[in-house]
Amino acid sequence: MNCLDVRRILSTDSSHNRLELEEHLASCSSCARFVVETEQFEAVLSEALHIDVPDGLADRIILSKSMAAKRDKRQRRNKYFAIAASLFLTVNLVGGLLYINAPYALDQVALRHVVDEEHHLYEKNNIQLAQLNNVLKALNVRLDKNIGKTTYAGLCHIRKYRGGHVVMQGKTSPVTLLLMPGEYVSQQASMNNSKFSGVILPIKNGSVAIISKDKTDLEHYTRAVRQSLHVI
Amino acid sequence: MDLQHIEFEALVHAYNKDLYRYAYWQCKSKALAEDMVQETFMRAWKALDKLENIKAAKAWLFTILRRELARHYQRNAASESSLEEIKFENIPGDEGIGDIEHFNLNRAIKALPDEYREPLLLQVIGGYSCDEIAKILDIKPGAVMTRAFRAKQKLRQVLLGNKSDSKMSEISK
Repeated sequence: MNCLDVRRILSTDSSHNRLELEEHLASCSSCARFVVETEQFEAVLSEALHIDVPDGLADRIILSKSMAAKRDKRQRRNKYFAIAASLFLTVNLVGGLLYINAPYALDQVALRHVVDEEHHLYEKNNIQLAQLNNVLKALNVRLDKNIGKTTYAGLCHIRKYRGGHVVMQGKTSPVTLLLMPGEYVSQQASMNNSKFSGVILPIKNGSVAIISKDKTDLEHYTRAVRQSLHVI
Repeated sequence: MDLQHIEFEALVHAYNKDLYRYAYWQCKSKALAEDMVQETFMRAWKALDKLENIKAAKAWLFTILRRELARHYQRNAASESSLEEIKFENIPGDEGIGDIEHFNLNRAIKALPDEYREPLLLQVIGGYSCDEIAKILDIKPGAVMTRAFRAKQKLRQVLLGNKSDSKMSEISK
């Protein structure tokens, strides 16, 4: 190894194994001096490059990580809430649309219909069974027998279907039968508002609402309709 | 505290200073250097499960930092550096520099071309060998040695004056 090799090694790779160089350095004062100068230079360079690091840097990094982790957790939670809220909204929207055809919505429609056409309650007609069945034929239903004095019988629209509006005399007050083909209900349900009470019965082609102010009349006509009304 | 948190904090305490120093000399701004190191450790935290060998942690962190710096410069072009240079030049002694000689050295380090400064920083601050630097920078070990040599040559000229010029020019032949 000559002086040029030694100096090249020391200048390019200060971490180079010194043992290889020691033999030359032991016999070359110039290179030995160069080594000392190089070591001094490396020390100054290292000192210059190893600047002070701001106090608390490590703590700030760790704190930032903790805050970021909390923020991510909060964002994930918010995302789940947003998804849950969307699902909730969707369910309610669909449920709301379905609710229009549900018996509970239908009962309010039926009650309102009677209120809106309350004048039929005061008709004085005496409609025979045959005439009544003539009206009911349009709805594919019939009564097997007379179940009460019929004072009104007509066709009307209830929601989106054509229905039948029949008023019969009860013991104390008129009883309305609303025949609603196409409006299906799964089971008998009660209903009421401030003026009337009633029940909705399922029939083969839809449902029948029986509405009265008097509970006794209601029970009588509910039984009678179950026994005598049939779909043709 | 779970194991991952413990590992992360250990990495922060072990390497935050070297990373900061490297970042500072690359971007010449204290605030930016701290931001870069913060960002480096945030990314490291998110990818900690990918670090399989703890011995590779330092090189891994330096790689993340280098990428963050590159991303920063792509986004911001040269708009910041000129202002920071002026600030640096006008505040001798700002970095704990005791005298004008050190001030001149620091300015010279800053003024080194990137391809010279980077191997120097990785060698002196990172403590990497030429072979390791070659892998990090994806260049040949010979190129690392040449660039490190040229960086030191320039800095030596500043520090020691022209006294060593003749010796150094003899070596470079």
